[in-house]
Amino acid sequence: MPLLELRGLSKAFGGLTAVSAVDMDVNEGEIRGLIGPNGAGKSTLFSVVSGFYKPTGGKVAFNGEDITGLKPHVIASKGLVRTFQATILFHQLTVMENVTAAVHIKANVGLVGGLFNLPSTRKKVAHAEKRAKEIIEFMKLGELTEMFAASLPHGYQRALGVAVALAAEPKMVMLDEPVTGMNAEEQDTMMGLIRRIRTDLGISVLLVEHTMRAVMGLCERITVMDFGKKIAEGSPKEISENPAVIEAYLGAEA
Amino acid sequence: MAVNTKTAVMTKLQARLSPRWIAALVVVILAFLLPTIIHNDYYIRVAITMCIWGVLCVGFRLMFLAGEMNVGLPAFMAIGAYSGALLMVKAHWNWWLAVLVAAAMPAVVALILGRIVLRVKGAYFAILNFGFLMVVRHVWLAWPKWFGGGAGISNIPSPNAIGGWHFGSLPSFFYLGLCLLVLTIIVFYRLEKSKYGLTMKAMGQADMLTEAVGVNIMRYKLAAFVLCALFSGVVGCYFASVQHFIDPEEFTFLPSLYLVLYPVVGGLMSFRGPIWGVVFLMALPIGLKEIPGYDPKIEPIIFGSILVVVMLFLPSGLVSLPARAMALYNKLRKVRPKEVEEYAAP
Repeated sequence: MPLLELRGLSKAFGGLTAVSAVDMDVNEGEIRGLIGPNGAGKSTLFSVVSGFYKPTGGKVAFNGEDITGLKPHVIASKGLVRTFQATILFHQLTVMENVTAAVHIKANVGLVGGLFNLPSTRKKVAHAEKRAKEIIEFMKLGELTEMFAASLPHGYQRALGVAVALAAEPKMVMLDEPVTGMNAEEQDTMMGLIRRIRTDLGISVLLVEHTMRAVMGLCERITVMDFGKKIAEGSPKEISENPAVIEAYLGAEA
Repeated sequence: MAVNTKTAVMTKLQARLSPRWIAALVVVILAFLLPTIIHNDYYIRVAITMCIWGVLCVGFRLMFLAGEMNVGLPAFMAIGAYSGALLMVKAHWNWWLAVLVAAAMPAVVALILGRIVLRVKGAYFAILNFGFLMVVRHVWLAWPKWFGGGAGISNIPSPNAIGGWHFGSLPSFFYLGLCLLVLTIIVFYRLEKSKYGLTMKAMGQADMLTEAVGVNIMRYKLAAFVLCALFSGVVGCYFASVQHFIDPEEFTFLPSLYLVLYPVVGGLMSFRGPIWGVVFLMALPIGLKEIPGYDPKIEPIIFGSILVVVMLFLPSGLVSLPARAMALYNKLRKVRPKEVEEYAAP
């Protein structure tokens, strides 16, 4: 049984169909790439799967459970967590606070807990801080814990975005352009981390990325979208030789 | 082991006795001594009004952390004031029982209303709350048989005596108001510094991201909305007793305006900012009245000008003034000789 299962997933904005009847299965332990030219509907697909948009058709199942149309925070609590394309972070909070705030599902303190410093609250907060430290170390941000997110260099901001997602204790993360805008060295570091997310943490990965070097290097299987439709799926080698894919990327000019 | 516990207690105590805590404690003690120093009724009344606005503005900041301008608090204050007043005047309830209902009523209303108005955010949220305030005022006016209409409700009693404490004199009201303010500050400060407060701040900076990591935004904001309504209700009941009279004209759009004015002028970026905003802007007219030929009619002009100046030049409010002045002084001291040199060079 695949971990994430999309069946005929569609999303239309008025007359524009951004995602059109996409079928996709991502297995547990897989690193899957999702690529396609600009405007192919990759980000919309992310938003539909993570609950930020309601689909206009089709079904999303995660871990054998139908999650179609559920609210984003419910989907996140089931273990499917996304990052954002732009560096959306809690900019005026420190690295430590960013990740601590995100350790939420297992350490939801709430208003009453926040007001009265009950033993259970203290335990949850201690857990959250410990967990946050582990994740920060894992993402190699250990020396920047007290820095404000806004003042981090771009590459570290991307890493913090991933750390925030990991703090939600996912079974699967959906990374939106994790290495975009990085130099080769930073890309290698991030690629290494993404591999470790799978091997060390046992978290499956679905990533959207334009940097072919990263996609080809990381993913066992790649799904290609164009104009909202899935046009190909296969290993990096199959994809790079697929005529439909080549046409989608180069067709207009060729 | 014993030594360990002892040092743990000591570090905890030291943390508690930071300069900030001592400063806060001194301010509170001075405030409590106020009626023994000042015997002017007018000043005490101003101080009572400061307590009322202090409570509202401290509450205002909690939702501001999550990026929302909760300008509807005067509506909940009105609901508290009317609930309390009607129970005491028409049903002859004891003040201390009436205040419980005055707290509960707005909280229940907020619980229902919040589910609707919290679906939108930013300016839209503020506008909806503003609209709610208008509705509440017109409900009082529309059913005069129940709510006293435009004539309002008069003869609202003072709080009943408890133990040896009697209420009715202005200083006694001031002490009660100050206790209420201190309680509010403790509650909201603790919340702000807790994990709940951290999540609220995170929400204010990137609400989609908080949702994406599993935070139920509606529940968090609703909790804050209800808590603020509850405190506003209590303060409303207190306000009704201080005045012994309330009418719908107390709850026009003006209180909403002040609810933004005081915190912004004081500084919404810090917890203490809104409180100092209230103190400063309410103490200001006292000083201005001493100026010969001063006409209170120009007060809105002065307040408006202060708001504009603060927003343009002191985005973190008046409380950031000492730090800013210090930075400016240091800058001038270091940069000036160089500047002079540069100008002198050609």
